[in-house]
Amino acid sequence: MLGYVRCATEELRVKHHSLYQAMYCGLCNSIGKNASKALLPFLSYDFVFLAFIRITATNEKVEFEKQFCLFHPFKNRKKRARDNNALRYASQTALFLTYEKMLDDKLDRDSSFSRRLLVSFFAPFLNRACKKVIKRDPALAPLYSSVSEAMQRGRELEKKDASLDEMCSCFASCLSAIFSFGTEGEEQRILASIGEHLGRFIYTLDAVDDLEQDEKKGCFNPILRRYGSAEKAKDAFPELDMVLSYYISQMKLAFDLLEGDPAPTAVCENIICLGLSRAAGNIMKPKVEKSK
Amino acid sequence: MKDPYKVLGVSRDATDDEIKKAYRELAKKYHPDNYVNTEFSDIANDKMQQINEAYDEILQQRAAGSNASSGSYSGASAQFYRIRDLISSGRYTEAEVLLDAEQVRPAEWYYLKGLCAMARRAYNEASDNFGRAYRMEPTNSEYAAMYQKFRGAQYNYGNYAPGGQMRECSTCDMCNTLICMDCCCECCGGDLISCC
Repeated sequence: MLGYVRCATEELRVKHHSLYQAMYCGLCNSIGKNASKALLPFLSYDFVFLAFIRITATNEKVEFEKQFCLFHPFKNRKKRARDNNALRYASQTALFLTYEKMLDDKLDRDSSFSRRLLVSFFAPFLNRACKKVIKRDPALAPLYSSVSEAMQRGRELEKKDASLDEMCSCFASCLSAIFSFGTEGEEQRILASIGEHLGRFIYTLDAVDDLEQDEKKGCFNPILRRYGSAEKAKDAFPELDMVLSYYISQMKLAFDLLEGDPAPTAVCENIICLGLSRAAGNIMKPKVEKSK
Repeated sequence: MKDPYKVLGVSRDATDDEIKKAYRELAKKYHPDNYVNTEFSDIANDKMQQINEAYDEILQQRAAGSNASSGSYSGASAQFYRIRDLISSGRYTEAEVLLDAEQVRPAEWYYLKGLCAMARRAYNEASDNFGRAYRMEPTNSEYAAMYQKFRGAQYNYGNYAPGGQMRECSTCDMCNTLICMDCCCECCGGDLISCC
């Protein structure tokens, strides 16, 4: 995931925001413990959302602890969430996804030299970490293979000049597997739908975000391919905006069916209803204004 | 079956209005129209049914509870009936004298004693008595309601305004009221705020 999934901080209650912060610190800690420290530079708030959704679905209780933080030695981070199932799961999947994304960048001839240098430095560490995680927790093996399969399919489709919907569906199936892994029945359907629509949302938004860059470098971009140029694609923004809102509304409908504790529910609702639409607006608006 | 109060997400001592509001909000959220043509119509229907059942059950419980409190003297002794009469007319001291003279002390005795203690503002004593009445007869809705009310009041201020239910008179409300009053006055030929 690419940093689009964040909360609208000023709309959160103070207690919910401190829970959000504590979970972020908890995820950082959990990644160091359960995945790999080499993943920390790539940590984003996106996976906190995954942890929150899993907590809402499983009604897991969050406990707190006070701990010194190496990255913020002078900041008074009052508490962080103690490692729990949701955080462990989020850190493991963050490892899988980040590694697969790196492979993408590595194989992508068009990515910049510095990016490729960075990737080729970190990828071996993450690869080893993935193997270690699966060895420790063999139940995750099918999840990892379905994630890498979906990403592989995406790379193949890219070569075939696939449409936006086809490209979206790869990332969507990847996230839907991640969100719903290890659950069953109604819960599994709900979580899969949240993951599916989030995946579509992120892929679409990323494609919009990279329009100019991809045009300059001649990279594959499904929106660019459909409309010809970044300039022409701007006419399609209202339509794309509508589709993005539709994804958000579908996530909200599915999420409403989960019965979680009030605090994580409030955070998730904030992220889905406000955070995501804000992320979309932040990317779309400047582009539209610039073209005018 | 699940606890109907939990399904609606309200506490046991919520007022009828609060319950109605919670029910309406949930019904709006899970209304089948929202989920038409989605993959979740079956789950949403289930939820809707759960909410409806829970709401009906609470209404029934509460209706039965108020009947019980008015009709429960019938089985009680004539003395307790008189004491209740005294309490409802505000003559707590006399009621308490009669109560203290009573040798047999069933749950009702503790409940009435609690009411008298409340009148004396001896809240600890009242709480003890209500708790005792409730433990002796946990099925009696009158005692249960009183006990819950007492316990509920203690933590209630800790989680005020769940979901923004706090309704206060804001500056905006005041202005609106003034403007409305001005309009009403002007309709009748008068004027409240001369400048508008």
